[in-house]
Amino acid sequence: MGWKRMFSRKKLPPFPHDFWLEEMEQARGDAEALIVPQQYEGKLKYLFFPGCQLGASDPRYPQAVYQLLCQVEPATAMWLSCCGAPSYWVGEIEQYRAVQNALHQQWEQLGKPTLVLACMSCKKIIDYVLPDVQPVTVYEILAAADDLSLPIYEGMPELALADPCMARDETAVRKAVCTLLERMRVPYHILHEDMHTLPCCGFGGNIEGPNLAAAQAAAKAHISSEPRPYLAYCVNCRDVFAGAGKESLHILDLVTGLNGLERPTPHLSLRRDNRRLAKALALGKEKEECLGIKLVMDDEVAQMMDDSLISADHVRRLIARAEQSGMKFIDEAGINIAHLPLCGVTIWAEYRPLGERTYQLLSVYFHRMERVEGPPADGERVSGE
Amino acid sequence: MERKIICALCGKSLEMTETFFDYYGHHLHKDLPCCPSCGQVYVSKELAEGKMRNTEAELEDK
Repeated sequence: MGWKRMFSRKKLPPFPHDFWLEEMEQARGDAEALIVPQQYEGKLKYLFFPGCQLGASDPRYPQAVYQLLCQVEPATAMWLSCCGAPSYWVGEIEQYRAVQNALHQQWEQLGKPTLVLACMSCKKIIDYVLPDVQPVTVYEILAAADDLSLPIYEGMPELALADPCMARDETAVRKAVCTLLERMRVPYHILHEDMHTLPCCGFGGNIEGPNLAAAQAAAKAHISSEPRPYLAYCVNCRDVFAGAGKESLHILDLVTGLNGLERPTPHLSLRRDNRRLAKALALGKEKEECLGIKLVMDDEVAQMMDDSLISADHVRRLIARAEQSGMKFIDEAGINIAHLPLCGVTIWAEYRPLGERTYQLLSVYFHRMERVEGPPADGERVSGE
Repeated sequence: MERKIICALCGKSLEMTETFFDYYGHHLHKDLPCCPSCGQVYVSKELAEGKMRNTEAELEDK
């Protein structure tokens, strides 16, 4: 197979895994935030680490959960960042070790508080790489807080508890989730009793980019035989199930009261905006637009971006370059057409200016072939249209 | 009706010009709309998601 030879010679583009590495870098870049209550500096008990996807799914989650944790223990800080899972999954071991080392260093600098996680992938990786950290989950902390007032859900339909694959053998975490459900009087049924063989929703390994069909098949297989709505305690699972058409909740939806069963899956292409909003909410500030460019688009275009692994930030870079350099086309309807070479791909966007640094995005697409100057010596003609 | 596109930088209509591409060591060429002044090449969505995508896949599967 040609692609195997190309991979071994490092001639295959990093795209689409590069998309996920960029997600990680953004979570550790302009979306990163550390919130430490001034009066508890140097004497923190908990450090809440929501992970890169919680705020990307719903920007309100991190702050809402942080407020609950502060009710349980005021000496709690929150750190919006990423554990490095995308680099681990793509095999970028040096990059992943650098992320983990930075995480460990920050944890030490904060006085080694108990690291409180919301994501089982974060837990799996930190348990494995940084065993001295000994993280716990937010579900265990909240379940053990007997005095914490939780909403009551009388008359709710029975939910199917879908443990994430990364919760393999994590019986204490499942027990904590069940305790929370019982305290909130939510009827539930455990979908897979055996915690050693939990199925994957299709998110793990970020296989969606290189093999969307495999990811979709995993999601479909997971939900196909269960009529009850799902309850997840991994936000990636929740979003995948919702995207596959399954009514799904995250346990934090019930604990915080933020969302109901009908919440659709958030667009992949807009998750970087969600992270920036999560940061703004945590800091009590206005959200800053990437490159100061505001994008407006309908759901169909956002889906187009998801399918192509093109983020809104990519499009902002494209528009910024086109508007600054003038290197773009315009059609008879006044639609702007421009392109931007990225890592291994060239993305194209069609857009229309709406106002001061505000643009309506109408279409996106990409190709991997790279335009070169001059004729090749051994050229092969692309077949005609 | 064919879409009329001009180069925003030069204000000129595009002309079909032989254009060259490389896909990880594989060389290809095709006539594409191009600005006669600055050389910007326009790749349509139809071409990117049709012939180009198919050719990329064929080369990867070889």
